[in-house]
Amino acid sequence: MSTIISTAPPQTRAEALTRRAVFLSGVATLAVLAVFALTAFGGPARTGPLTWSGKAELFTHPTLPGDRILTGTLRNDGIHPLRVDIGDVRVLTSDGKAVPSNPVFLETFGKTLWAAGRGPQMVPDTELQRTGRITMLHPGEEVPLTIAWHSKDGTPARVDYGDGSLRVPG
Amino acid sequence: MRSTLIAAVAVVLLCAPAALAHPERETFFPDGSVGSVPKYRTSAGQVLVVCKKDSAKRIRRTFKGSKRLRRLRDTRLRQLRRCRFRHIQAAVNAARSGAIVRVMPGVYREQPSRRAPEPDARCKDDYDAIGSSILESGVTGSGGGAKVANFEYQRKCPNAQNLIAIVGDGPDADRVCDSKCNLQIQGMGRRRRDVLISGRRTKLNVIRADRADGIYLKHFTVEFSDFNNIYVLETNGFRMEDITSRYSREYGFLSFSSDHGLYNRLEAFGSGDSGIYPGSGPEGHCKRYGIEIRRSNSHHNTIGYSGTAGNGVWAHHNEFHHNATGMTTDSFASGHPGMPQDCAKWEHNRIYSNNEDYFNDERDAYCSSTPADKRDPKVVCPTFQVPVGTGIGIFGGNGDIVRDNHIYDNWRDGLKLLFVPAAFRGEPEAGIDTSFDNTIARNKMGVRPDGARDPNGNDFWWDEEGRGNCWTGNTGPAGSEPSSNVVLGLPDCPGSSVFSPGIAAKTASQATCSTWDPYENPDPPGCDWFIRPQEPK
Repeated sequence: MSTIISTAPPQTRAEALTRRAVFLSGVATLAVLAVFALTAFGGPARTGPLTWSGKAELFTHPTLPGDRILTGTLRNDGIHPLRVDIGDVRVLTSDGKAVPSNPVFLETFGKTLWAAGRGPQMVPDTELQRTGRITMLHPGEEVPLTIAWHSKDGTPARVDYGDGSLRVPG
Repeated sequence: MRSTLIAAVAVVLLCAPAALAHPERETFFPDGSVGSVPKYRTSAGQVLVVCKKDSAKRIRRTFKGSKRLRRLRDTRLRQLRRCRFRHIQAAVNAARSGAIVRVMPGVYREQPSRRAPEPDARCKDDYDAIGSSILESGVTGSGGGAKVANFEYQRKCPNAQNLIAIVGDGPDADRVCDSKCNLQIQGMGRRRRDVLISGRRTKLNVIRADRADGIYLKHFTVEFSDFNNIYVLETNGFRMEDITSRYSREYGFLSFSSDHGLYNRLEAFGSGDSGIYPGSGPEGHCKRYGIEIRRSNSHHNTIGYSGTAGNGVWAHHNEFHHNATGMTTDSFASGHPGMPQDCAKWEHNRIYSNNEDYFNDERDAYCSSTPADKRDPKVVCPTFQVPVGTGIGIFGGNGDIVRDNHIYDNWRDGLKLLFVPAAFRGEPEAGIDTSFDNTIARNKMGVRPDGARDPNGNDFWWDEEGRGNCWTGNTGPAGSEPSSNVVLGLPDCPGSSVFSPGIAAKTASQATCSTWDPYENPDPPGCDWFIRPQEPK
């Protein structure tokens, strides 16, 4: 056993194979534990630069009992500016399945400048940002996020935004 | 599935129909310290008469019966002899400031204007770009600005976008009317419908009054614009009176960055957005109400009345009914002067039965699958989202007064008060500066004028954000307390000077409705606006 955890070079091919097997089984165990953690506890609070700033709230829509809404404020805790397009924001179940949802970087209702079917072929980023379709965050900056979904479609455990993910608060 | 959805959105964005940007060009308020609402005139130094071949026949057919009508008939026939124009635009082109244009009974399709191309190559450089590429954080985004025709475009190519254009300012920089000021354009039929100005959705606007100070429009019917049936812009002194507007793709009567205006005895129906829209109203900050709307009837539109930055508007003795939402004012859009919205005063109106279900699956399917130019123009296709079943919506308003109205039979809410952050109009540095000092007083909720009970689903909905908002003297059926969604009760007047941050669950349940898109997302999860509520018992 001592030879298995030794840092000394293996003396024989059999010892090398044994060490490799032990190493791989350790990695596999860690992976299983990670999956278990993601499954059981919703995974780490966050991966990537965004974090919940303050308390995010999850609630049932007051008149649509089958719909859930998550709302909170995100902060860029990273060291680089970050752009997130709303199309990259998804909510995932604990086993990684996407739940159809309705995310927007807004805390309350707002609407676009262009009437339905009237928009320019390329909507300016300013308009996309104003209406919560994209966000550009320097380090330390914050943006609201609201996401809704039908509960019958799944129980999200994480909010994924491409460059990272956040746990959905219980 | 998600990738399919994203791909579909991308395709829709790339294939968006006719890339015409309709947000307003950069505008400025006229000098509110001068100017007045124009008065009716029976004579002028220049009187121009417009008629059709069948005008005499129409006059004889409609002015008959009483002695008074026969006398009027004779007068009209006498006036008809002076007819020199077949098209209203031709008379406007010939008009000098102060002229009266009399329009004899007939249907005016303004064929020469229809033939004007849009876009017009002569004006290819006359656009403003709205929405720069510089984002709030100072980062350069993509997409650049969107093009919108500027004033020079309207001056040099007046009929590219407009069936009838009254453009008053010249090429100078003062933005003040120089010619064609104080025009009075008046239908001479017995009834409004005897003079019909029909756009057939071939032009954005049927009538445009642009820096046309003193414009007075009276006594006719106007229909089928692709944007606004009547559009008054940067005009100091205007009056729209005794006019029916119907079936505009977006707005019936719209004024913008204008002052000293009167909307009087108007009827508006069939608008995809609002029947009446006093947007970017005068900045009197509650000391002066520069636009008055009275004795008008707006129904069967997506919204009866709306006004982004609808400041300084006094609306009284009107009816807003059988729309999806009755009245709104808001601070949503960027590029609208006068933000945030303040000082609308709504008194003695009847706001009722605003439950029109224009967002149901059948309508969604028709409107999204039929190109705008192929639709039946009499079918309302909503151009923006609103909460079906709502009497009044104040979305980011300050110092508004809602007083002595009858608000009933709106199946969702009688009045909804919701804050809008300044970031939403592109001014994030201003933080939260709306939903301040609104007064809702002495309204009869859920009661018809005859005293009969006709309840709203809920009388008052408030996100509990703001400062100084107050409710006083409002009563429900038989003098009962109105209902509300505020557990601890609505604040009495004067409102609290302490800022209330609002309830996240309330605001978030509205945020979900922001993503509505009739093509791709007609029923967003977490949004109940597009489900018509059951009629309350």
